[in-house]
Amino acid sequence: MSEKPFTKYLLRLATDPGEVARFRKGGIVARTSMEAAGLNADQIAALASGDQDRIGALVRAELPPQRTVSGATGVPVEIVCIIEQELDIYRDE
Amino acid sequence: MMSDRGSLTVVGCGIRAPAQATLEAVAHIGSASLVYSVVADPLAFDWIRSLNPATESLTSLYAVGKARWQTYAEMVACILSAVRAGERVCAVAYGHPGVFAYPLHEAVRQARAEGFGAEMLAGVSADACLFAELGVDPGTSGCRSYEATDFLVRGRGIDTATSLILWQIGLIGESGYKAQRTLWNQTGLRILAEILQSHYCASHEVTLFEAARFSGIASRIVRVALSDLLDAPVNPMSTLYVPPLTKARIDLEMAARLGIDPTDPKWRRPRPEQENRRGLGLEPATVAARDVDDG
Repeated sequence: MSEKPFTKYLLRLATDPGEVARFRKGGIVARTSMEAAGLNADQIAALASGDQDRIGALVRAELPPQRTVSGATGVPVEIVCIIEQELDIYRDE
Repeated sequence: MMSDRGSLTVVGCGIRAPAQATLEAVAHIGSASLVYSVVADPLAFDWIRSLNPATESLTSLYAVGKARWQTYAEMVACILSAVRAGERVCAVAYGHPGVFAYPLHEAVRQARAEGFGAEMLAGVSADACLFAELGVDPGTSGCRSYEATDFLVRGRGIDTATSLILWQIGLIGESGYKAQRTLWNQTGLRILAEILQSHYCASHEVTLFEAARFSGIASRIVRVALSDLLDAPVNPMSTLYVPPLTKARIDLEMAARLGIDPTDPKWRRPRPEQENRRGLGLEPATVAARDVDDG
């Protein structure tokens, strides 16, 4: 079984329209496919809920820490995707 | 492997990586001698690293209490330092690398100013997802797009005959950041709702949009009347779409100058409100959730 089945399943969803169709169909079709991919009950429930923060946390739990530049502060990355798209509004003109 | 002369290519991996990454982005990530990631999503980062093991994250430069502009300056300095050292750098951002991404624009500008080859490649941004999933065509009624705080503090003005997109409505007036995933500034949202209601009717339906970050998962699409915006589930990732209320009048004098007969059917345009209410909505994930939960 894969070391990181949840991550691999999400990547499969990104590249396999047939799997997306099975996932969206829900019910036993989706569950069977996810179980065959090695997902546990928590991971299946997270995907079914559509809760992206929960899904992200489960992916993070499967992966090693990101290799960071020196001087890294180890700030949680959950919110960075918001900040990195900040607009220039507080800057001096 | 380092080349004689450094270079910089800035790419985006889309909102849903890797599905929305372009072929040219993939190629540049894979062929770079060093990849800097400004991507928070762990799935996206893992995928980028699978394309090129020489990948480092710059997101850890953010820190609580640290001015964002200091962080941005450090990102630019880090990228430029590697370029000067002869690396073929690929910087990867979430979404489109040039949309709400000051440090990457600045890195390209500085690299070019120093004589290095530098370019930015387009990616899939949140508004691109919005157009697709809400069925909004900016060519039909035009489209104005503002960061929400900027929209308010600069008094950008409203054209009710044009689509309006407001980014980051959940963090109006916030210059730092918070860990909470819910609305950051209730007062800011209230003021925004007041301003919008002074131009549109209170019952005007608007849409909260949050593009899905994972393939197969439904984007968050919530439609509410403007009068109910304060009670809507706004979070820091929410984008607000305000459809046109009216249809723009034709300037008959200008039409005549251009030789256009507005009564000619060939010039008839679709109605301004063309939003696709069916879209993907919440239905797929909701259905999947219910069915799976039921076992």
